[in-house]
Amino acid sequence: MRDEVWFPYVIWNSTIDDLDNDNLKSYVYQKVDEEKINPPLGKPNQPWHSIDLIVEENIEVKKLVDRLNEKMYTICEDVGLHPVQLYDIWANVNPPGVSNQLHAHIPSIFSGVYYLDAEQGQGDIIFERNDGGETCLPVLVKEPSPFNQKSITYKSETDLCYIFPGWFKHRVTENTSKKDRLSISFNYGA
Amino acid sequence: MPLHTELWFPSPIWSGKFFNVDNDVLKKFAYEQKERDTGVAISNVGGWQSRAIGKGFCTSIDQLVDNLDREFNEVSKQVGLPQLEVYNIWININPKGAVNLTHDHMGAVMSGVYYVQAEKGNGNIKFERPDDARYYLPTPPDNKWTYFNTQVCEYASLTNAVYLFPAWLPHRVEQNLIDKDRISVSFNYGMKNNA
Repeated sequence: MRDEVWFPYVIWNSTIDDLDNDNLKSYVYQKVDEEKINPPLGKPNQPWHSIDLIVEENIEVKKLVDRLNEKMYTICEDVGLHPVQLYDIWANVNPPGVSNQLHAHIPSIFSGVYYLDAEQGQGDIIFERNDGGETCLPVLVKEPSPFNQKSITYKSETDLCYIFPGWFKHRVTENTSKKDRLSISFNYGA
Repeated sequence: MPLHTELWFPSPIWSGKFFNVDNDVLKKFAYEQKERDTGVAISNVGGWQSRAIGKGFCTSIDQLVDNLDREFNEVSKQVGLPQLEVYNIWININPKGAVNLTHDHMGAVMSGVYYVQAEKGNGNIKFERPDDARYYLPTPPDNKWTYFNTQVCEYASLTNAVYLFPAWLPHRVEQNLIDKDRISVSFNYGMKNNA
């Protein structure tokens, strides 16, 4: 029989290894200091994220957005969409012990994350299916496949970048290390 | 580093044709059933849907199930599922004007349809995307729909065609616009008790 695949959830991954992550890290902590109205860093069980970053404010953020724009152009070509533009971009600091609850990025078409300081044990990103398959598929399967899984885990590691549809629900597991996990998230739309 | 693309949780649709099912026998059986039973109303509007047909009542349906067992065995291996078995199978007769509203087959793992008598204008089957993307995705350039950006995909209803799909995939049947009945057999497959 012939098979055709429809409506998949897609994850694009790549490495961005030409950014000065030390510079980015200093910039993020500067934002933490500036944004006193947000929950203070280190408060138990509270991830911190910045308000929208001003792209031109930091050369490394600008470079990151340039890289992302290139990737987004390729992705839109591949999936048959008009080019998208950056909606917003923000920094995240997950101190030890914190996690992020399941969420989607309404109403962006694409969302993603770049890890500027992350390693094993600091919290993986878990994507969960929401198409009905999670209720119909058997609980236990012997051979995991993209078809039969109910969730998929991607590791967080410095320089890695993941891009995914804005409607793809995801969460971040607990940071079980003793140091902060730093990332930059972004949304793109029409 | 170049982008690496990974597709997760896809909705595959398998298509093929069965030529070893005696459609004349099945058609005769279908109309006999319709004569003696009012059937059930589920997604069908204006059409007749039988109750579940058991094994041994119609040789053509038994042959169809043999074919489906073989195909689902292959499909299960392909997607990493345990062996599946038929849960239920039923006949649909859609006369002119009949439609089937959007529905899914929750409770089963895989579902499908085989066309005993169908042709252009009889009402194609349309599968709708099962996620939230409809709230996010814009119209593509030049209305060029792809596996990623489309909200719906359409498959022709044609005699001998068979389509297999995940049970949770919402689908509907377009209105039968012609004077000839559209006759199909639908089925659900699920986990074997001992799998």
